[in-house]
Amino acid sequence: MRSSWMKFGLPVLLAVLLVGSVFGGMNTQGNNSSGTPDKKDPIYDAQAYASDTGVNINEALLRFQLQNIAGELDAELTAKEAKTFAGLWIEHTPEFRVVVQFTRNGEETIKPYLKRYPELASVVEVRTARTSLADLQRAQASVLSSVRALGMPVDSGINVRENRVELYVAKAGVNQFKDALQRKGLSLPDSVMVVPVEKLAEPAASIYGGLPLSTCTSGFSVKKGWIFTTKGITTAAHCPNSQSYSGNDLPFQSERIGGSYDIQWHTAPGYTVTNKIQWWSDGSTRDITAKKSRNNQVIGEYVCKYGMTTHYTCGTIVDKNFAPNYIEDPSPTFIRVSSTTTDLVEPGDSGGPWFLLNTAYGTTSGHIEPGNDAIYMAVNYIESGLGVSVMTSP
Amino acid sequence: MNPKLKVLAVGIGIIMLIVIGGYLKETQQNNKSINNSLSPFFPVQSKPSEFSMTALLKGELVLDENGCIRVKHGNDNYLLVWPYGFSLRTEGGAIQIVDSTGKPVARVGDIIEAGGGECVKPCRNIAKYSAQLPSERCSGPYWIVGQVIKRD
Repeated sequence: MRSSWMKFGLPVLLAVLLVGSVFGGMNTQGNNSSGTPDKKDPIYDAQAYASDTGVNINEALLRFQLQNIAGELDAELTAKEAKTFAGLWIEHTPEFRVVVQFTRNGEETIKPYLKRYPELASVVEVRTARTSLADLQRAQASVLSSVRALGMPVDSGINVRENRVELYVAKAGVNQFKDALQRKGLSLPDSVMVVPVEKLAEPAASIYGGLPLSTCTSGFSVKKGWIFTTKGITTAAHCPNSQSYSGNDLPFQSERIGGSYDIQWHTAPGYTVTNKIQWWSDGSTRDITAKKSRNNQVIGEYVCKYGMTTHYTCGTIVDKNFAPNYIEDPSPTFIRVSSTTTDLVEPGDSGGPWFLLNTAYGTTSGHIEPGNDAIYMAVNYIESGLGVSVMTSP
Repeated sequence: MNPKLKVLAVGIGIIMLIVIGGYLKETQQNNKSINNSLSPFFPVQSKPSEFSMTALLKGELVLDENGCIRVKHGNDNYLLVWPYGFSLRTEGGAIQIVDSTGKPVARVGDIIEAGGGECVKPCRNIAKYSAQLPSERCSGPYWIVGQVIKRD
């Protein structure tokens, strides 16, 4: 029995384990347990592309490489063939191709470049256009300068496919725009087209401390890195890692809890991160231009906070050596604030900013019930805990 | 039949009866424990505390297939760790959460707002919060409830 198990059973088991581990390994590289790719994994983008265009993932990854090469070609043609190059773009369906436009002799002009970028040879299509990209850019600059003098708000772009400059004017203001042009005796070149739009582009919304997130309040704006900086906002580490603002997800970056720490941070794609905090329930903000570390905070000092539940409240520091029991192995570095008149913090306020005037003091961690007291983590622990710096300038 | 073989056969028969009887009894006990496991699992904090975290979890209080009472937020489906002194009460088929004074604060199916905070993953210290945790039946993530501040 033992020998037959060794002879047949063991190899079968090993084969099963081997197959299992191979497929298991593949799964951990590309997919989570539910079989969908992890969004952090580059394969996720390829799967999305494959789904959108009806190709397989290998083809999607190949096309991603071709996109990069097309970008190099674009830059080189812009620099070296400015007189005749009229722009290029990528088409994904029905076939993947890179369309390159010249004002003349395109087929000849492209030849040496295709020797340098042979990967593109089979997908490049050369077309002829009337105006070079450089001329379109000059026309755009000239028209924008003239239109600015009219005092009319417009957006502008270059539609490379249509080989023209486009001026986007709010529908409600199109007649006014045309009248203004006429009054000034201005006419637009043939390569410029007015495109009525419902609404002009708006500046990106800002994000900062004191704003309501999914389950907590944002603390302060922070940045990481010196040359290539990444900006974001903080909240308390005991808040769930999935947070959103105004329905937009804020990707989680890192967190630290335990000891002196109760802090996490998130980036904010699509938002401009600024060194402000909301400090009043009507949305009023103030700039944060300084920070005060725990060592410089004094018992009896008057401090204020903002949170999405109890909004603006203030009290005095009664203890700067507080160790809250809900923190693992707490260090006695948390700050306890008391008020005889106001309940300082309630659920939802976690992570929110503590401040005075324009100086950052810390971020809300907890409260004491029954009673009015609040607990915050001093601002210096944001920096030491997350390896970021609290923004004190735009 | 050889008398020795007779004795051996009777002995084997008795042993088999004991083994089968024991197996049946064990099966019945297992069935009973499965039935018991369907009753809600209700972890409470080991100690009363006046200090609590102040994040705010909103969502429907759900009893899952394992009898775990949870609230979902994003990708996390939190197992609630209730304040010290809280308990469960079943009334008219509804499962109620009762505070330390005996006052109902929520029912399974309610949309609740629970103050507190998550035990940050991987939360190796959950036993510090509740002697009933960790539990094989009801795993994390855990939400350490400070106060249930509202229910609809």
